[in-house]
Amino acid sequence: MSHFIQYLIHLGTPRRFYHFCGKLFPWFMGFSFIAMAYGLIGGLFLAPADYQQGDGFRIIYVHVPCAFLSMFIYMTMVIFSTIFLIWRIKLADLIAYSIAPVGAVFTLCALLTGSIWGKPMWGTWWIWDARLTSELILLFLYLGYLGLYQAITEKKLAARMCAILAVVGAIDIPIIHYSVYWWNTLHQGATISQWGKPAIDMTMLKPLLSMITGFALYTMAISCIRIRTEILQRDFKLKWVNVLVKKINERH
Amino acid sequence: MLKVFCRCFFSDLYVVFRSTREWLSPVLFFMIFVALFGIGLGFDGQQLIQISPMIIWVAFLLTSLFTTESIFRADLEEGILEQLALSPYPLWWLLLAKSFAFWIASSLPLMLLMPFVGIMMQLPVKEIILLVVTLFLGSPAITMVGVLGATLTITLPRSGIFLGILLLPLYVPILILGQSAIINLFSQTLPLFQIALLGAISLLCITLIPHAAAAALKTAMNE
Repeated sequence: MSHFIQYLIHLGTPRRFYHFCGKLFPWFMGFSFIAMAYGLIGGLFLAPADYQQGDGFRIIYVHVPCAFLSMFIYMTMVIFSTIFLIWRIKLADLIAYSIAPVGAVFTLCALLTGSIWGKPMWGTWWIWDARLTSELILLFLYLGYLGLYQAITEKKLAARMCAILAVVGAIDIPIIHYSVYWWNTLHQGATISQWGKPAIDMTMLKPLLSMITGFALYTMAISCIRIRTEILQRDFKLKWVNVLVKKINERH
Repeated sequence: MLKVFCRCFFSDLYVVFRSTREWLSPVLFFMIFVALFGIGLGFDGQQLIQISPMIIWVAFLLTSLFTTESIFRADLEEGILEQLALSPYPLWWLLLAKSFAFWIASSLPLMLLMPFVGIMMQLPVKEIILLVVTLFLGSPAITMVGVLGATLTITLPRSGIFLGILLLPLYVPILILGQSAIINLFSQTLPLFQIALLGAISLLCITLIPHAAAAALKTAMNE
């Protein structure tokens, strides 16, 4: 255990983390490619058509991973913001800031794919239903976070303020979750629940889980790139960054 | 502790009510907003009854958004916030007193106005009462969220429309509950569930947000 903690502390400097992310990136990308390939083939060709929705249901293979990750990334952001607020680890704030745009894009994707699915199934592009509203609000939370981060010119201050905003906004996540029960809703209940038998056939479920895993790995891969860029941007005055840049320039 | 709270609360209240413009302009803004909707929707009384509670709720939210920017403006310019941050008493406690004073100055006049606005908008008595109750329970949360927004953007020179993006997500649950309470009343059931939830959200905001706002303010003062 103490070795593990030592290893974590060892990783905690931006320089080490930069190289660590660089090493992880191809693995994440590779496994994400495999998982998504299986998910797409399984979801689009192998899984049977739904008895009610026909082939229209297949959009869940994009929609559900997007929606899941939009919330999951926000939760990750909140965890890192909390770590930053408590232990003042700069890297935690950097990670939270780096993954926020990814989350925002997934939220947008979830809204768009949901809307495309909603037109033929519900007969409307948009409705002020609980889940749709909460997802939209999640998008606003992301945009507010990113906007505040850019608006405050003093970066140290921006980091603290945005971490506080993220933690406060986290109260929104349980409201998203429970709004399905609190408010009259058109959106169906969750398909996969942690407890009990899922309300979906295994041939449909397996590709879906694979897609979610693939999307999550893809998020991590993209985050690795974003974190590396952000580290370089923030530490551009430090010697190791200059040495690194020089080395790369020599290679080309 | 209680003495400090009262001192801070009353001095703030005194300052606000001494300048008429400070507390009167939100009230006027609210009235104009609602009146414009009344005029715009014209003489269709039935239609007005259907949507006027929501108009009043939205007007209320917009008015508080409009006042939020000015919560700490004068205090920041005069250096009172630094004094508060330096004082030996916990900052969140002082902020709570300030928020309470701000709530009295900004939300209470609007609620006292509600019977008149309700009559203007053709609402039956039962709905006016429900509107006042839900606003009364929801407005502390709205004020606290506003205080948090004001502290987060305190270093920005002009935060106007940006504050809207920041606060809108946090306002929405309150608006949804207020709106669904009224819809429940339309279908002849007493919306106790929504009222209880509004109260719960307000209590949560009153207990948690002063700490968050104090943390934000301390950071801003240190820079």
